[in-house]
Amino acid sequence: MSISDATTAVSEELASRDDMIVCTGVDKWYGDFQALKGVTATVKEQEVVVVLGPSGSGKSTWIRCINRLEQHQGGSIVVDGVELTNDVRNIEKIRSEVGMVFQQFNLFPHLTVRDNVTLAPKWVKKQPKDQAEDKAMELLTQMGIPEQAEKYPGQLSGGQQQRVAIARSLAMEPRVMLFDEPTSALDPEMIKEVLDVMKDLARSGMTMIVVTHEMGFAREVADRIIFMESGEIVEVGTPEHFFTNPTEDRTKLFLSQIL
Amino acid sequence: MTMTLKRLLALLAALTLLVAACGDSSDDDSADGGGDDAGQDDGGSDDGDSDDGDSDDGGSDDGDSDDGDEVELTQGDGVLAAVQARGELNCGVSGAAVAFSTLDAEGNMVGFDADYCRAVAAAVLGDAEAVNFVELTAAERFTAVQTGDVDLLMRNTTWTQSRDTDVGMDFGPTTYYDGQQLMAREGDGFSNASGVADIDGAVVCTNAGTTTEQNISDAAAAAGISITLNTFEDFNIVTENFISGACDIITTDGSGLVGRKAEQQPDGEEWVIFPATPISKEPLGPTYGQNDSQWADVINWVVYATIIADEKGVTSGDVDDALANGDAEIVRLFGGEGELQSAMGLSADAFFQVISQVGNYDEIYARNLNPVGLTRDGSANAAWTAGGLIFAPPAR
Amino acid sequence: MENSQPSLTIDDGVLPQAAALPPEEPSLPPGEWIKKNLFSTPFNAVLTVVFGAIALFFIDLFVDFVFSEERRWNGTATNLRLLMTQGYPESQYIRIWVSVGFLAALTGLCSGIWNAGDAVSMKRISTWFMSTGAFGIIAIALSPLDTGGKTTWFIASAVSLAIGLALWYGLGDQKRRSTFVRTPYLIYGAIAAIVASLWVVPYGNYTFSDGVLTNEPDSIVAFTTRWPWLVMAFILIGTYIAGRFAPASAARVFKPILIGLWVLSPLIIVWVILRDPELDWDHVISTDIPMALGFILIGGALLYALSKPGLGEIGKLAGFGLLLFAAFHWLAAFFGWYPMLQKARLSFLFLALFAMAAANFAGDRRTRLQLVFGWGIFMAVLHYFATMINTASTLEFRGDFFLGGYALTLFVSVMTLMLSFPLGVMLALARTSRLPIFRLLSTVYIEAIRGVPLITILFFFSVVLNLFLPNGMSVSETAAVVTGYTLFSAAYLAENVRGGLQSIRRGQFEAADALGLTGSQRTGFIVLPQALRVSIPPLVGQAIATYKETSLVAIVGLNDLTRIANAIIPAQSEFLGVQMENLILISFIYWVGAFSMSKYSQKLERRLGVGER
Ligand SMILES: Nc1ncnc2c1ncn2[C@@H]1O[C@H](COP(=O)(O)OP(=O)(O)O)[C@@H](O)[C@H]1O
Ligand SMILES: [Mg+2]
Repeated sequence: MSISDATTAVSEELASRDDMIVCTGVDKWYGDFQALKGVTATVKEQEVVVVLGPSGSGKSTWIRCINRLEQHQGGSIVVDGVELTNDVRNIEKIRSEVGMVFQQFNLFPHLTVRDNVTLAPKWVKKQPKDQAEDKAMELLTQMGIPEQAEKYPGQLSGGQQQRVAIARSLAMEPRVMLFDEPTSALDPEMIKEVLDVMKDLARSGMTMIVVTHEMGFAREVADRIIFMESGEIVEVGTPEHFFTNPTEDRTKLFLSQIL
Repeated sequence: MTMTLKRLLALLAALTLLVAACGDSSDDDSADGGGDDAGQDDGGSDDGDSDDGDSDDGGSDDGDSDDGDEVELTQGDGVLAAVQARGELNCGVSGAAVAFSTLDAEGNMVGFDADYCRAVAAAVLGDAEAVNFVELTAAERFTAVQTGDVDLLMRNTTWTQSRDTDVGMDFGPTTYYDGQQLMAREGDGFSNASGVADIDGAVVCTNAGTTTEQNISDAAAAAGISITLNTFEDFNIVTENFISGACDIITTDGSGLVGRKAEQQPDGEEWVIFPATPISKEPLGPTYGQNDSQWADVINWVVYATIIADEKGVTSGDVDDALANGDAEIVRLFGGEGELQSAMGLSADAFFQVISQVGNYDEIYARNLNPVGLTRDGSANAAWTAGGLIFAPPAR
Repeated sequence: MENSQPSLTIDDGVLPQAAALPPEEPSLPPGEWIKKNLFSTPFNAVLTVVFGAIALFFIDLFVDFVFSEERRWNGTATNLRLLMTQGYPESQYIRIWVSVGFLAALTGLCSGIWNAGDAVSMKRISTWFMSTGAFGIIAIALSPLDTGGKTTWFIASAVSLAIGLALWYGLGDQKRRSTFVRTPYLIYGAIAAIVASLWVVPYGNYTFSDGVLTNEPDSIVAFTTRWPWLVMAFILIGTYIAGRFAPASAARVFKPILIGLWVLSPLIIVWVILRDPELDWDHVISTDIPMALGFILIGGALLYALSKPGLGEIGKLAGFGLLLFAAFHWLAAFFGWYPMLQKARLSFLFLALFAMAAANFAGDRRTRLQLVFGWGIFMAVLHYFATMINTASTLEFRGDFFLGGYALTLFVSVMTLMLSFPLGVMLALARTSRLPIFRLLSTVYIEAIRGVPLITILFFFSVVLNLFLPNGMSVSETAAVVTGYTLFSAAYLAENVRGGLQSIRRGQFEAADALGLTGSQRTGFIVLPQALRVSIPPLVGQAIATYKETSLVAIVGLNDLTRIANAIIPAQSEFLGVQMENLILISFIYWVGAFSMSKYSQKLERRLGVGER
């Protein structure tokens, strides 16, 4: 575990904020294979963290552990003061505070866009129907697709679908949003519309962890960048630090390959 | 966790529903019935009989039968009492036996056997229409009597030793003497006088899996001839094959052959039935569970009453006259005098009702069997006075 | 007509509208079409001729067989009533019309409100007319009908052919390809035409004297049924129009009610309309109504309390306790410990199930009241039907069950499908459950049932079941057979649904989890709806099989359509051996039912495909 000194190069203002997510020595095995090796990281309130790393390095596994889509086997994960254990109530609480956007959108194909967005608020948050629908329209407008409310996901473009997926997560009013390669399945011309929405979201003060290969986005929006490889966090730093003088060899190698 | 718990519950619910489906027909009074049973533990099989019989009137009208149960239990535990309490006779019939029990186009059960069910209902309940006809397959029939699903079988059942003893049935007086015969075309050189010995080398057809198959093989062996025996699933198909010429000869009970000849013999062809003395004896009559002699008496005397009325020439049309002016035996039989019927648990006019509502033996026979070409004259079913076997002991 | 089924949940928006349809492919002139499709190569020409000849030969055989002098169709015609309803009293036939009217109203309203149906091009319509006419002419030319009958049918076929040709050439290539007619108009138009023709054409004659048809107007099916059919047609078309022009607000209210009525329609028709229960009002007022009200009010209050937010484990415990309580009553029923009305037992069971679900409704007042209202409606329906089913009928009928013939066939298939559906879905869920004991139990059940022939199960249930039941409990043969058939069919249904469940991608589960849906919400809102859609083709296939295989109940002695045709009518003294004729007729009856179901499923698939892509 070698976290570079750059970790401390975070601005004082950021350091003074409350902790939102605290991972300490998180281990995760798939059978014999260790996918996460003692991942330790803290995400502050309203911080935007971009996770970089080669394919198979454990990025998805890590953020999926944060909302219990995967179960970690060692270490601890604390989200907004609540520790993730087998206690169902904790899981419910954390899931309602953490939204997640997937690479493959995972919209519900048999429901209209509106129903996709209102389903969870109605049944998990027990919001009255009208309230949930007003909120949904507001979010869809924010995403720039209010006119698609009555359509089915299959009738939308990829970029539109991903924006619906973001609206669906936001409808639950989460305090943290996790993005797992949200633009990787999109045609190039649609990537921007999704990234723009995410930038707006970041500016509005949402705490975000974003796994992405969009270096422009990372450079522009991230407060910090985490670089992972082989299940470990190799290097953490501000975008500036990261793109101008990374300290670790593995980081340099990675950057040289993709830039 | 929560999900699995819920699924467990869902499955439990499914299982309970399954049990519910089984208890389906018992609804309101199933538990009442259970309570009664507890008090009647040593009531023996008859208790079970009546209970089952009751709930069998359908998953439908249990609502009202509570009272029936109680009345019946205080009156006695024979089938007669059960039938009287229920107000309806459960009579097991075939439903597809030509001229004996069939559904007509309106859905009414008609036929010789069906009329004898009506006769019993007329005697026991005073209403010939108070019959619940239960259609039984050959395989179900004895079980249905044993479980009490039916009070009586009128299902062209041959009286045999093993059924009388092993199977636990009792048989009433024979109402129809049947016997296995053969039918061939006159054009092939057969006549009513032909015998089994004349069919050497012929293709003989019958329906599979019945004793008819065995009987004809035995008869051929006894006559020292060889035949080709073909069997088909049901007798309609056997007949089709006979008509098409695939079979030279078909064989089944004489009553069946006569019916086929009457209905299906093509124009310009003549079918003949032989030998005059059938190759098997098939006495058909009422069948009921053993060890209930009161019920046996009732059934037997219903049959005898129809025979006696025939003997005395009393028909359904002139019962009133016969009761007023008839001979002494008829007056006794019709309840005009004496206590004969009351002694067996029936109302005095029980047999009067039988003859007036259903008719005497000859009327029942003529109504159902004449249309398919079966006549009494010269057959075993003629009255004993006319050289037949239909005989009844005297009513006195 | 069949496209009005309420199971469609796809909204109107995605339905292809007539105006928006692309024109049909252009067509070749007939001569060229024949050349291109039938005689394109010498080899194809030979094939066409040979197989055409074979087809004609078999049509000829069949027509000769059907119209042969030897066929005694009078046996079949005289027994039409027996085939359809067995012993249902003629004086009560009005009830059958009321049932048909009820279904017609539902069908009309639904197809109107959902704006069901798609559109057919004139090209296709004219092809239908032409091929019907051509086929009719060929069949008639080959048939040995007497000349009078021949001319009538020949004229009818020629008219059909002429209409087809007129449409084809009258419209011209461009127009016939781009003019579309919506199927409801087509179907309702056809129905209106058929009903109108009842006044003119003497279809069906059911009275024979000495084997000869008597042409009395009062024995001609068309003339005796034209008024009722006219009323039915008016109901059907009237309700369609009403549904079509109903304001959207009314439609929104009506949709759930209509779906509910469809689901309940078999119960309503069989136990309320046809069976005519003779209500004992004293009992109804003293027992039935108070009991129902008691369950509705006390149960409702309990559910309201249990859906209080933040109740947590207490709510679950209460639900579980109730379930044990309910289960205990069932055990008591089984062993005859103490009396209790069956419907009370059922109500307790459902109260327990509702209580388990109460946590999902823990929200504001409105959400909680939704649960309470749902409970109230459910209980009212349950108690209503329980009371109806347990009341004696006013009808005079004898025997095991008051329906026979085709009515019994329909009853057995509909009840079996209705009951085996929930059971099958539960089995499928259990089989894909994460808990090994469920997987095991459900797998054992499914594999055990699938290894046994249906006929064995039917024999077991019809003959042996009563011997296994505790003292004092017994089921009618019809109920026993439906139970056995349901258990059988559920196992196959479960496998079909499981196929659907397995086709749901993992992402769907993850998305639901990430949103915080509970396991049962995930199953109910996300997984099952998608799985059932995927399973529609095999499910309809199974429904068709179930419908056809009801004929096996004939073997255990129930008087269904097959047994009446195969065993009962051939045994009647007047019609001894009339069997082939009946079998031809019932084949046609079975075929119509099965074919329309399979057409419907094709349409459903096409339609559901739209929303999925
Ligand atoms: N369900 C699983 N079973 C076994 N191995 C898995 C599973 N999911 C991921 N892995 C393995 O864990 C490692 C990390 O995967 P992942 O977190 O998806 O990587 P990334 O998102 O960084 O590309 C990979 O080697 C992958 O093969
Ligand atoms: Mg990944």
